[in-house]
Amino acid sequence: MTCMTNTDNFSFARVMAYGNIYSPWIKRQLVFTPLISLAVVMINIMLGFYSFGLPFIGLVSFIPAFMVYFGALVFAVGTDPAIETMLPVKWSEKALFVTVYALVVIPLCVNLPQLIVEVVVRPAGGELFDSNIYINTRNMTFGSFNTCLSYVQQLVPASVCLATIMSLTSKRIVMPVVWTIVSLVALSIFGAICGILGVFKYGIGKIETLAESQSANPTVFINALMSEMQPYMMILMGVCVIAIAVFVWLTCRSIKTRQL
Amino acid sequence: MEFKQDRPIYRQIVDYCFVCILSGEWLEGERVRSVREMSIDMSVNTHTVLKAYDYLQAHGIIEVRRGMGYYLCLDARTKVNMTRKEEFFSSSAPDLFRQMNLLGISEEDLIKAYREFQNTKQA
Amino acid sequence: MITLKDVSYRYHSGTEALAHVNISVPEGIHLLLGENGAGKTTLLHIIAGLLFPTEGTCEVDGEKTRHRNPSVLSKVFLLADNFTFPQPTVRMFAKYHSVFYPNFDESLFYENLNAFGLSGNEPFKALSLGNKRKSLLAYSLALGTEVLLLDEPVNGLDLNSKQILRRMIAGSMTDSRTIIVSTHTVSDLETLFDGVIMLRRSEMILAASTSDIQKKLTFKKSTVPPVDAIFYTQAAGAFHSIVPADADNESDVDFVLLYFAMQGQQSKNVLNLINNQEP
Repeated sequence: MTCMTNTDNFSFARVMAYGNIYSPWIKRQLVFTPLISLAVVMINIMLGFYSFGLPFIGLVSFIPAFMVYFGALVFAVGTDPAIETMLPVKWSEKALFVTVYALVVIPLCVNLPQLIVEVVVRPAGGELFDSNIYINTRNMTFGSFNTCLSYVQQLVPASVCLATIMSLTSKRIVMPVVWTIVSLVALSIFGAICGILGVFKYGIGKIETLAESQSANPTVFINALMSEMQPYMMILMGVCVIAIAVFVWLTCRSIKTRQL
Repeated sequence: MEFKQDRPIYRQIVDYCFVCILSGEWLEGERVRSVREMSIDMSVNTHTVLKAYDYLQAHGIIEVRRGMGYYLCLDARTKVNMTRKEEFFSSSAPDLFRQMNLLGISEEDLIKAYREFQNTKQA
Repeated sequence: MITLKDVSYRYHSGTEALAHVNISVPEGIHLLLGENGAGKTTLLHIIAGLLFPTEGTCEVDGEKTRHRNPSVLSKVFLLADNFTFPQPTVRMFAKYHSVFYPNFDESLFYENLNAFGLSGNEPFKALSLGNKRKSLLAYSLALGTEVLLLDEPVNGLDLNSKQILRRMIAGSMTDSRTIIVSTHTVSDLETLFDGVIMLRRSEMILAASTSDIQKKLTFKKSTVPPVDAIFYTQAAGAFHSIVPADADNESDVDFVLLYFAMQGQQSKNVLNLINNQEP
């Protein structure tokens, strides 16, 4: 293996070599994440053909979500924080790798196969998918603000997981899992509050009227409701972005100043 | 090599070199192990080996050839014997003499015992 | 060269682990001695860049370790307890880890493993503690860093392996290397030490080279109480004493005896003798 440079300048080669430290788990994760995500999509499409399939679709969808939330755990499995801290790698190089990996690469690996449904499968399948619940629900929200929001929301627990792993020097698997779940619960509660506030602001009466008048066309109804709730969704989005930024900053700080 | 506690390690290394020289394992005029090689073989730090080599150099047993290392002098065996004799008379003999004084053993007793020892050896 | 200037380390609770330590550690193999809690681990961690001094600076070759620059960190490695890694074998770990250390000698690594009777392809998790240690020692000694810090390296090794380790450490020395061995079992590696650093209650009480100590002090063992001893202990009918050196009677350094001498009131006398510039 060619040796790394030992200059104090930023080096992308060193960033990649740093990532290699986590082999073979990191390579396995990069292979299995998109495969599992793809498998989940296929299962959901199958389930989508049957009316009883909807609840199961929800169940199976946990898996890709968890793969995003806990993606950073690869940095804690079997590694030694002292050896990692002593590595002749700049803190900025370490931070760049772990942040991009956990908050960009893994979410991409998870979400890309699912995007295939919207972009490739739907047009290719044509009429076959007209009655497929899964594909239709995905289609409804594709490209909208709310899809963006759901992607961003995923990153909040993922960034909490990353920040906890980088800052702890012991119990680097149990505690991050705990904190990630806590953040997930907190996020869900906050999201629910936003949703409820939105509904109340809009007025329940109005919703009933809208529902009755639009009952023939559920897609339009949902879109109308969504656009009314927009301000609260914006707040949620803002909070998520700020939270992610905070945890990324914490990650960087931990890597730079961790002592053990 | 396992070292004894009662004698400085550098002297024990010197003794080891003496054995190598007198047994003919080290050939006169040939290169001897470098300080580093010896320190690895003996598992001691290089300063200790250096001290041993300084001692051997001082007694004309090995010599330094610049850029090439340490070499065994051509008359090394004679020098080793000379050095060992010197050592005998500077440390072992005084110990013996002190004991003799303490126990009241005379010169004549010593010579008599030595002659008996030589006779039994020959027989 | 490792230089510590007025280094102190204080925990958040206020306890001082190191207080105003000033040393320059030159090339060679050095013994780090001190009672439990004296600050040895803290000292090693500061040199390795794992801890930042609360006061003062620690430099390796003129660069501060607290900045954790790759140019400095590539020169230092600390082996304390057995550590874990994500790869299944130590050879695979070496493949990914050694790229950051420019002086890694792969053939020496395999030689060392061989000397310990290991191949490096053993599933690391399944190895005994002793064999894990040997694998990691084989690696650390082949990493080629200018500074190698070993915390209790002999722990868990059988007698044979201790001998092999002694030879391995002697063999890994170069003119530009500094190895610091922190250990309570001094005798295992005693013949190797070029110098000693002693800590006591977070302070440095002695830092001297073996040859300087040998020039100023003689360590004697006798059956009668010594007359001119600066310090002596008695054990199993024998007296172990420290006397001012006389030119004809140079002895090896008994680090343990010296350590005990530095604990009591006589420590000042001992220090004065060592630091005295007169031959």
